[in-house]
Amino acid sequence: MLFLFPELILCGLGLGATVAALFCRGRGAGRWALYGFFVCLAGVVTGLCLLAYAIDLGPEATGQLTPEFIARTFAVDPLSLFFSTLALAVCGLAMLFSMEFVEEVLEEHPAEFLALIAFASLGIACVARSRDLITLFFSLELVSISGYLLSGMLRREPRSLEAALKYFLIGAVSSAIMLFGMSLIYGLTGATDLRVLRDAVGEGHLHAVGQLAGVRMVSSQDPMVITGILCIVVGLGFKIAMVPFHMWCPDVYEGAPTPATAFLSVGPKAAGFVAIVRLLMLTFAPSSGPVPWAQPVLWLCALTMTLGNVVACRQTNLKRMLAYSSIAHSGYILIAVVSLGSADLALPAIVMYLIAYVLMNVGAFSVVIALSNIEGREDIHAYNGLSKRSPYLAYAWVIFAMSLAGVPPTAGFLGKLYVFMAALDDRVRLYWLAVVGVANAVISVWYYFRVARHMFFVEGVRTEPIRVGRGAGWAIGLSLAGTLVLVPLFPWLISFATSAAQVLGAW
Amino acid sequence: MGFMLGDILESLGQPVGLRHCLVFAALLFAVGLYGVLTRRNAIGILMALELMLNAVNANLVAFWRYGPGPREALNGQVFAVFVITMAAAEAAVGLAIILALFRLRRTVNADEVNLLKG
Repeated sequence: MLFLFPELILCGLGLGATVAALFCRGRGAGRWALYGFFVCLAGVVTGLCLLAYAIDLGPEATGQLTPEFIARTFAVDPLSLFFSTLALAVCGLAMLFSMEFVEEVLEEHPAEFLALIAFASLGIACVARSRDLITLFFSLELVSISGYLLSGMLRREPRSLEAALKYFLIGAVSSAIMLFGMSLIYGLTGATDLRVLRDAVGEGHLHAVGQLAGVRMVSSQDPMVITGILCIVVGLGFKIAMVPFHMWCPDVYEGAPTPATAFLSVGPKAAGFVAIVRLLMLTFAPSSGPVPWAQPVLWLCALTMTLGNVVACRQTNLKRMLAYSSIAHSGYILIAVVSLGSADLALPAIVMYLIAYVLMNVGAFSVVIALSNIEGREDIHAYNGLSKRSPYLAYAWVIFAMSLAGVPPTAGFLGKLYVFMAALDDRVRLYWLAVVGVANAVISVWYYFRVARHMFFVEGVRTEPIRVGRGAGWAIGLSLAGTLVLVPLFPWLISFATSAAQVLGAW
Repeated sequence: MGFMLGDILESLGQPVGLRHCLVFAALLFAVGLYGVLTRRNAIGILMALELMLNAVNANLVAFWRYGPGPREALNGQVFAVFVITMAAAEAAVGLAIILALFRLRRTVNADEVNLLKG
């Protein structure tokens, strides 16, 4: 149970906030958010200590410390412990940047907002742990259902409700399609355990290769298997907003309350990618022979990057622009997903990119939150002359824009570097994809720095200084520190991620 | 390719087995998907969605009964029970959102909900 510590913290936090909701109406919710942040902070520190302990012990000994009935569906390897610590960090940052929002904007149910964030983070942590189809699906669903509610928290605001309705309908349909695919996979093999599935979906071209302890071996070329896997790809594609399943993303991000958007842009996306790593890269990727999902995802990856970046250029609402930018970032991470042949580079690249993405996106959104708490709007003209009104926000945005666009010396640059290296490896040779990726990074510089131009070089109508809220200010500071401090730490992180990925390959 | 249409139609004449269940579930899923794509009323979309989830349940239980796994392993049934639970949770959340929207806008038509564009 020791290694399930982050999950226990998140679960306790969610339940605690639910109970607190009974007593807490209106004012005072900001204080609860602060307490939540400190709990998460303590949890992250403990989680990192546990991580060091788990790496020291090695995977076998770690597994033995966990009861059988948990270990059967919950992985306790270092990588999953790392991801659940990351989920705890996301939860803490979200508590921090929504502090002013729950205190001042959200009049009804402020503590429920915090509870939903904690439960969604619990879902992310559990996705990373799952080694069974059933656990994996229901953890994803925990993230999604909390997300629908988070986006509709402003019940008197038609745009927020519209975002919630769209997110709900599209999310629920995509879940149903994914479930249908999972039912086919279960039916063909008779197993839901991901490790058994990995062995059962083999490379042979025969329909039924043989029996293995009540499990039927099937070929990865079997039309039913391909249908099942493609259904799962469609479902996961909706979760990470992969083109052509991205239509919901800009609308939901624009309509949802800004702190909810900030959480939705990192939480469900991280969960979706962790699920992709578990399901597609580690389970349904036979070591030899063609991988059924690789070709379609390869083309969609190039499309996702390009469409996200090109459409982001003509957005004037910052939330919508960041929505398209997050679609583009999904595309970059997908480069590493399709670079299967160099999995020993691709897995650490995904881990690194996700960390960088969480930090820089939370940071960029915190700037938007800090301003929208005061101005109540997010269009680009609200940012005119910001460098005079609040130099802190303006300079922070420049750093986050550099990181998002992939300019050194930021975490975003290193994330992109490792992703492209995975594609350029001799075993994969996806040169054209890396070229498309670099071209897209160049396009993205334009729209991130267009906002910076408005901040520094356009005179604003209003000139009075902005008092940045405590929570948003600290969230910006922490992600700023993370974006810059991660750079010297990267060699160490990469070696950790590589060793964790090797453990995972053997899992 | 053992799944040609003629094959399936031929085997439907035989005693009820896995094929019947799968064809039924696939049709149910298709009807649900059609409903989701064509309905304008949000409640109608929600109902079509339930059809899709029930198709999945039919699949899971049929695969448990006739599939390759051992009958003692209850994976399929457990999965189906969880799917039912999730469908209920999703319906609760969905109806709550639709109700709040109706109070505000006096409409539940999905294509009249179009403030967000760009």
